[in-house]
Order: sequence, then structure tokens, then C-alpha cells
Amino acid sequence: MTYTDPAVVATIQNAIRSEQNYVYACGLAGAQLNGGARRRAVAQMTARQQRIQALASMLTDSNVPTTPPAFTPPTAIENARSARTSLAELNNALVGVYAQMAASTEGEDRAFAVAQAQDSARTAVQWGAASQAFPTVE
Amino acid sequence: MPDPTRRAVLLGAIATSATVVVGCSNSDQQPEAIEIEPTAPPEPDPNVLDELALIGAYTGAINAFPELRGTLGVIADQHRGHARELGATEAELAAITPIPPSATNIRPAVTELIKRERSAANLRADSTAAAQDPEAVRALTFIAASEASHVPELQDVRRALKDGS
Repeated sequence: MTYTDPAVVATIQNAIRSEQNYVYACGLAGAQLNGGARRRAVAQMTARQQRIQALASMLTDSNVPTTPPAFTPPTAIENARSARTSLAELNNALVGVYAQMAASTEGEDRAFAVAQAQDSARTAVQWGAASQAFPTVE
Repeated sequence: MPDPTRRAVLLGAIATSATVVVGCSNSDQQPEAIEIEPTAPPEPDPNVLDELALIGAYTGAINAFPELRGTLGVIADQHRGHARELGATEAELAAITPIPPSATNIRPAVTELIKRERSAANLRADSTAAAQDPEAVRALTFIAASEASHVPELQDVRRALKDGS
């Protein structure tokens, strides 16, 4: 479905921007991580770009946000530890973004938003965050 | 499941057919009897019942394996938060009966909890489809995400048990 209601469009745009930032952060983190963690960060860049495409398909072309040239994560990525922390925080923040999108959409698009919220919360724990009753940035 | 019939019994008792006698200030008049149509008891919310069952399962696992109290206690508290958000009362939370794990060994007991969490995350996600109120959708999405995140957390617990044995 292509949404034109400004309130719904705003929640999807927020999801796209948050994922664009996450992709950029994965790039920063990848430079600090090694082995399996680096491979996971690189794999997530690809997976999240696919998410962005799926989200963009819900909007008219003119409503799809352009990719920003850079992003500064709230937790600076300076080493492997801060890379994990930063990626965990960004994923927990994404849960709220997708919860908002789920609340403003219906049908398959709502199911998509719920699935992405679940994946984001799982990924936050895999990057070392503790689970939360209502995942958010602590 | 922790005593799911208790709720239904209480609600059923409230909803039984009743005849209400309407009082009148004039003592010469007979009170009028009004027949009230019986109302069906509201269906118990399966998400609330499931959260109560999860808390019972965690309490049972902690009782059986106290060494897991740290991680499992935190997750059980998160489920209490979910249950409250979904409308469970403090009385319902206080009345939860521990559900002992069917496994007698610690790692299979954790595996049971992982299966319960997967099932809970799916139920919560499915429930968002039918929810009408946006706030309910939002709450269910947060809870579905939280329960999905319990799976890797419990897998870490299980892995540590394996590594430690």
C-alpha cells in the first residue's frame, strides 16, 4: 500500500531515516569490530538496506527521504566495545520507531512493522544489551 | 496455564441473569421488578492469561533451579510489567501458581522457557493484527519485541550452562 496520509508518512519516513542511520553506524562499527562481529555488522548493513527498500515502497517517490551523507551516533563509536553499545542502543531505539509505525498502519504493513520491532529488539540483545520490558534507549 | 478458569468463574458469577428490584420513595407502591437480560461474560484476554502463565513458568523454573534466579528473575519482572500493561490486576499477579518445569535438568528447563518465549512473541505479534486502538497496537508491539529479545538472552544462559558443565 502507498500511504499519503501525512501522519502515517511521517512514521514511515522516521523508520527509513533511523535505518539509514543504522546502516551508517554499522559501517563505522565494522571498522572497529573483528571476526564474527564484523561479519554480523556487514550482514546487517545489507539486511537493513533491504528494509529501507521495503519501507520506501510504502511511500510515493517524493516522500522517500534521501540518504544523509553522514550520521553521528549518540554513543560515539571509538572501539569494539562502544561499537557494540552503539548498535545495541540504535536497535532499541528502532523498536519504538516501529511500534509507532505499527500503530499507524494496518494489515501486512503493520505485521511488517511488528516483525522489524521484534528483530530490532533481538539484535539489540545480540549486540550485548540486556532485554527490557519495553525496549528503549536507557 | 495458571488456573485460567478462576477469571472465567468470577466473571461468570457477575454476569448471571439477575432481577433488579427498583426502590420507590412512596411506600404504598409496590417496587417494580425489571428483568435484565443475561450478558455473556467477557472472554478472558489470551495475552493476559499467557503472561500470567509465563510468570508462573519462570517462578517454577527459579524454584527448581535457584542458581538461575538472577537472569530469570529479571525476565519474570518484565513479564509482570507486560501483564500490568495488558490489564492484569495485582490480585491476579499475586495469585499466580508456580509451574514447575517438566524437565528435571537445568538446560532442558531453559529450553522450555525459550519455547514459551517464542510462542508468546508470536501470539503478541498476531494480536496486533486485530487490535483496533493504536495505543493497544503500540503496547503489543513493544511487548512482542521484548519477548522476542528474551530468546537470545535465554540462549546465552543455556550456552553458559553448557560451557560451564
